[in-house]
Amino acid sequence: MVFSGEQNPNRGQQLAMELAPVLQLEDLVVAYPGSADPTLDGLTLSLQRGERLALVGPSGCGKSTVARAVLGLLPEGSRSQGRLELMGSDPRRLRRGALNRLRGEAVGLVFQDPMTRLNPLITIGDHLRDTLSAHGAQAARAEELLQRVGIGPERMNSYPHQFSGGMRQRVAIALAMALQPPLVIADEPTTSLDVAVAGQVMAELTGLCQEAGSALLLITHDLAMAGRWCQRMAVMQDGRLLEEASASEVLLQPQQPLTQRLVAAARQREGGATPQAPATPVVLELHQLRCWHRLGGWPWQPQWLRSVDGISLRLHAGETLGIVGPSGCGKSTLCRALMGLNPVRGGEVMLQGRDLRRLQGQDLRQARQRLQMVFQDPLACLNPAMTVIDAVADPLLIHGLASPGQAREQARTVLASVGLDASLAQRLPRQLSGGQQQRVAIARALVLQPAVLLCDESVSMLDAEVQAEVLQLLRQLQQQLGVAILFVTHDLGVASGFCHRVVVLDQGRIVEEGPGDVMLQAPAAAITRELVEACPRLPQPK
Amino acid sequence: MASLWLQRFWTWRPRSLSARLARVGLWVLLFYVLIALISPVLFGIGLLPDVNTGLENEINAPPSLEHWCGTNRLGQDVCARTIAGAGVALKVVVLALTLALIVGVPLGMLSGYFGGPVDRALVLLMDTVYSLPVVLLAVVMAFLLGQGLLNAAAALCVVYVPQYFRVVRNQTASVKAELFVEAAQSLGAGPVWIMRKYLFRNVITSVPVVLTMNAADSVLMLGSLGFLGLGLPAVVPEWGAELKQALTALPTGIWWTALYPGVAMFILVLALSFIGEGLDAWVSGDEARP
Repeated sequence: MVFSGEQNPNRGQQLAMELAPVLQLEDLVVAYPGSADPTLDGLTLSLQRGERLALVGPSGCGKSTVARAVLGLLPEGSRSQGRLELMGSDPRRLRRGALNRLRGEAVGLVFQDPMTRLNPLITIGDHLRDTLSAHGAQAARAEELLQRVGIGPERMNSYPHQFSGGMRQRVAIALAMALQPPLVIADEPTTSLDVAVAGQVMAELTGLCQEAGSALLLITHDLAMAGRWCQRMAVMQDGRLLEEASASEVLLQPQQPLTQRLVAAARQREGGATPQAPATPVVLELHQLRCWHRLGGWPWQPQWLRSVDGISLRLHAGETLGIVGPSGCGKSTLCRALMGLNPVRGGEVMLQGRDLRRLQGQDLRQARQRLQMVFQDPLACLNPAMTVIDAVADPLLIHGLASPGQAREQARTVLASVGLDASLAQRLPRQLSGGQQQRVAIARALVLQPAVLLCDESVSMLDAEVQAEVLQLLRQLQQQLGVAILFVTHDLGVASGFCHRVVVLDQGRIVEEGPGDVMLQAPAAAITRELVEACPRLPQPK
Repeated sequence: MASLWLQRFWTWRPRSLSARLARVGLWVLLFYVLIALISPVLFGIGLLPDVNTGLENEINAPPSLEHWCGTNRLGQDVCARTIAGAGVALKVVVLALTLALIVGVPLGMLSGYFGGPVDRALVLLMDTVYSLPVVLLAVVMAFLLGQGLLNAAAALCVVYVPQYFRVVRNQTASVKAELFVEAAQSLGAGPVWIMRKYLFRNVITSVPVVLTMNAADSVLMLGSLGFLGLGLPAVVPEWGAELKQALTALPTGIWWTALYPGVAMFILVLALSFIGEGLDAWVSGDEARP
């Protein structure tokens, strides 16, 4: 390559350096220690100065490994072959000191979870000052940098835990951009943020990149976001580059079957026609439900956080009701209160004509069998030491509905009905893929034959294709079993295609109610408009 | 199943130092257990002389063909008493640690799961017991309980209960905040069910390490009690008591009465410590599964 270790590169070399790509990968093969199959299998990719490239693909295709390989962060004992050039030098051949300089000055990295990147014991200001002075820059720039990402100088002495998720990600962006590196790698930077905040964070990130003239490598599974913020898009599969073109070209005329599937799944997420609601009896009725948390104050003048403040709704058998709202609107509190995990302060919960708040002991436990929940994170909600079949059979044993042998038999039937192979029954949850884990969680909720299923963001952690599969499964199970579903999500697009009716929550109250597709076209409430606008959309074919 | 494990153990050739030492420790422990199992038979058929008969023997006789490790000042055979001591030590240690587990683990789980004032009172009590010097505590307990195999085990058990309590309680308190416990609650599971099926397997992960470390420690502790004349009755051959008896004769050049019980105890403690260290390293992920 052009760049050499000479002390005084002449004008021609400088010019060549400016024209040379920031990052160039050629036939890159990377294998983690202890695995026979390479994770990256001959990847060829190049990134020009100032260009914004999105790297997309299904989970497990090796997207994140690219970032690790470029930064020299692969674990000890990994194999790495092929050409890898970052600003004309190969990070794998650098000594430690040079590598550290390269990491800060040539590449900035933004992680998925900003809390893992920030030291909880160091203030935000010190984070920035440390980074700047470690690379010989002026520490005084710290304040200016924070202001650029919309954080006031008075927050310099705050600690990471005092910031919200979005603010933390902004700090992480300020850190990555502190030295104006020619390349910024963002690995799923907005996955842990809600839609509205995600849009703002991406706007700041791309704005800063443009100003500094940095190239951006955005690693994501969200095609709509990739299409909105990047010029070019590269689709990966099994560690290889499948397709690379301008973002609109990939989204409008996908060439490869995988890309077509991904785009179709992403389009499905944007919402479709709302299905007809069935005319059936009411199974769950909430009347003026209130959940307040005590924040402090005097005993005669307490202060309350009104998470759920007077919600009334009706759910019919075989119907799906979407509950949509931004984070902090009380939708999770509502779910937890219905499951008896949060105290309820007032109101009525009528399940199949019985008021759950008036029942006690054995009656309450029996009534609750008819109300089951599917959590957001399927791995965290399953006992890591319990096999799949035992996890699904356990609810039957808890309620004493079957002998251990019968329970396993029933669990096997339910596992088959959610489309899980019998060979997976003896596995532990962590040995399954994300989609399979969520199927186990659904099977466990269904084994008690509930009348109402609560899904709290149950598909938001899955990538678009798996998400579509799980939604399809839920719909099919609903038709077979006639179960009513309360579908909690922050994504109005998903809700509009899946739910018969949608309710929008804001600050613990219902602000809008109606069919989802109508709401997407003509949002009435301010918060609904915000949700609709913040959501990045795929370009529509002409 | 069992033969498969034996075969895997036989062919287990670990690379890291801690695992290699653990392998050595396991073999030594196996050897001690074998001796403890076989020696009653040997005593029974008369291959080894009875541990308490010494009147017809010469006292303080040096090692010879008749008495391989010599005799002590009562004329008893040192070899026989040392071998019999292995069985006694293992019996007391196993009993003491089983008792400590039976008391400490459920108490820790209950305390960690329910929290509140009872939890705080239990933590205070256990920390108080833990802060007392262990030898002093064992001596007082042994004195209060009197002599006997079960009493010695109980005296030792009191020393170790707080350790299991602390480990299990803290682990329970952190695991109960996990989502899967909440999910189980939402399924309708009661506290006992959750502790049995959801917490137990997840909170006892570090108990085996503490257990082996304590086993090494309790062999020494039993020896200390015997050395002070507490714990077991004088007729039971116990290494600590042997050492105490040997101490008075040591300045006159009679080394065999101290050496053999001392070495036996030393090697057992070393083996148990190796196993504990190896387990610790394995649990914290330094060595791949055997």
